[in-house]
Amino acid sequence: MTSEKSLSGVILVSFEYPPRRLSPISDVVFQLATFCLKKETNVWVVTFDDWRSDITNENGIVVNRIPNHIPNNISDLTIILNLKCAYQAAIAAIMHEHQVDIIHLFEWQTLPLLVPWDGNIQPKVVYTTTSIQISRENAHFPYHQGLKKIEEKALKNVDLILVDTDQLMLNAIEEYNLDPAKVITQKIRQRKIAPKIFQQYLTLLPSEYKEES
Amino acid sequence: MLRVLMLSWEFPPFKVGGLAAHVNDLSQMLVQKSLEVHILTCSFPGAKEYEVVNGVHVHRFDAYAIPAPDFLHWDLNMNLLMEQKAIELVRKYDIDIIHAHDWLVALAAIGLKHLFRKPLLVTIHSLERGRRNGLYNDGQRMIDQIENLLIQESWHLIVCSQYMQSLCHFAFDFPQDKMSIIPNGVRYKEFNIKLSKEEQKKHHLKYAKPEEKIVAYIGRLVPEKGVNVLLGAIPAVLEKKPNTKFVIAGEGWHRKELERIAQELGLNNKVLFTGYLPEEDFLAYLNVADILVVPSTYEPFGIVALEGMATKTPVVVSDVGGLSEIIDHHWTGYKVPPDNSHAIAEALIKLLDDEKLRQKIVKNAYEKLIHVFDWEIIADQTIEIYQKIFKEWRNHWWKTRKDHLKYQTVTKRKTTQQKEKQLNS
Repeated sequence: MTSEKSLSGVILVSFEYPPRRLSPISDVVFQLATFCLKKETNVWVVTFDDWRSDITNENGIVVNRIPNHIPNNISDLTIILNLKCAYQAAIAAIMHEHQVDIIHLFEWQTLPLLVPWDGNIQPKVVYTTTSIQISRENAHFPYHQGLKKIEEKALKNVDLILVDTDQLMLNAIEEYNLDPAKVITQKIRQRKIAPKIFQQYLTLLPSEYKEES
Repeated sequence: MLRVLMLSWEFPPFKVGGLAAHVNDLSQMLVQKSLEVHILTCSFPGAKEYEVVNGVHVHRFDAYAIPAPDFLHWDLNMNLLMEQKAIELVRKYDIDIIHAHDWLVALAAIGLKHLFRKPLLVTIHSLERGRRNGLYNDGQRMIDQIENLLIQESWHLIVCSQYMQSLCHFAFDFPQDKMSIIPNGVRYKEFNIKLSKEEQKKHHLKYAKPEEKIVAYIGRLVPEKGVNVLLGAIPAVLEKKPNTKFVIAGEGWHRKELERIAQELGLNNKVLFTGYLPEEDFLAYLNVADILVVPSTYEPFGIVALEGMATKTPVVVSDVGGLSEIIDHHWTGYKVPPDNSHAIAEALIKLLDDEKLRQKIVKNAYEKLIHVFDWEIIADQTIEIYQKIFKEWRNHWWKTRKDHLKYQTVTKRKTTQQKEKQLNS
């Protein structure tokens, strides 16, 4: 068994975080952040909120609600592409000042971040999702094909993908020709999900980081 | 030696507007002055992924790898791919300054700035609110907001005219002292060609009868270029100067509407729409033109006026934007109020009548070109800004750990943190 203390810092990137709740993911991110903190791991949440933009310390969790510089958009895709700048600025600022081992992104709204990184950044990247493009909408039109291509390019750059169901795992592996070893089923609606995800983080770290307990 | 990465969505031979030529001419002159310049731009069929063009490192990437339903989506997708390639280049060539041209590369530029903590220099060539004479839909508002973000994120901003400086200042609250005005330039020596009489005759006949004088327009056929205003002036000119031919060179989505206007005014025999001019005909066209008209209703700079001045063609321009600053009325050209066909007609008649005035204008205009719009002068001004922002950045705490070590800077922030630690202990 490995000691959880080996993690220095985790950045959680999500389109939602309490009190903003669009899906169960919001609370999963909160639970995970709280658990990280309990394990003496620095945790930052980089998130989006419709009505506020600030950096707050919420009982030890540093929450950066990014500004929305470009409120006028022509589609959901342009919203997430335009938000990418603010997400990246926040993430980069943390990475330049602190030791970060893991960046964990949640759901498709955060995927544009991963396309340019192309596996070129130091921390390991984890992605959690409850869907892929073909399970959300068809990909017959250029708009949806674009979303799918972004997903495809992004997933190639992820070290670990946590999906909600076994079927989704099979679909993702097949659709994007992913290495099956890096796609794992991790049900979102289960109790005590945070320790399980935290344990997955540890598997990504180099062996010298892990201490035998 | 400073290493600069320029981001531009267009670069020759892929040209859409004047941006490609600007980036090309500027980068070549910067290289001549011993800078290392890398251009990152969109690829096109048959283009090389990497080549060195007159000392400039040109890198291209597949800008169409992510499907898109329209231009705006394409552009934002393209920025992801551009940033991906740029990350590789910044790492490989240890880039010092990122220089972005216009909103089309904004998201990639801002992403890079934060990832590498490098100074971002931005050149704004035009603004959406000016191009469209207002903001009328979400797409335009989105572009406007992206332009604003790019400007606010810049370490320093270059604009091409006082008009653009005041627009950026008042539209986006951007401080004047973070902006520099550097005009566009023109390779005037290359424009100074002398056609033989036979060649002149041959090229003249392509557009007009031998006895006709040519009033030329060249540019995109879009509403803000004001070609409809020029068409409105033609009947009045023809009344006084019937031996005049009006030649409209260029393409654009407004062309059909313009052709309809010309037809309705009964000008079919006196107006020629040439479409895109082949590269080899461009200089000859300006050479055989007796007057060049730039009737724009919005023009951040107006490089075409410089091209007219360089080919020693008298220029009539609208008194708007950058054109107002290029042309000194009655001295290096003629300025007329924008959107005013009557004023254009008067200016044209005056110039067609007065050979001496034309000669005086042409001579003065050429002198101004040499002293203000020479690429060498412009490159020197740009290098001065590069050096200034690099020095500011070097002495600033905002850097990566690697750059802190490289430049051995004891930052204000760290000193403060150390003091705080001491106090706490």
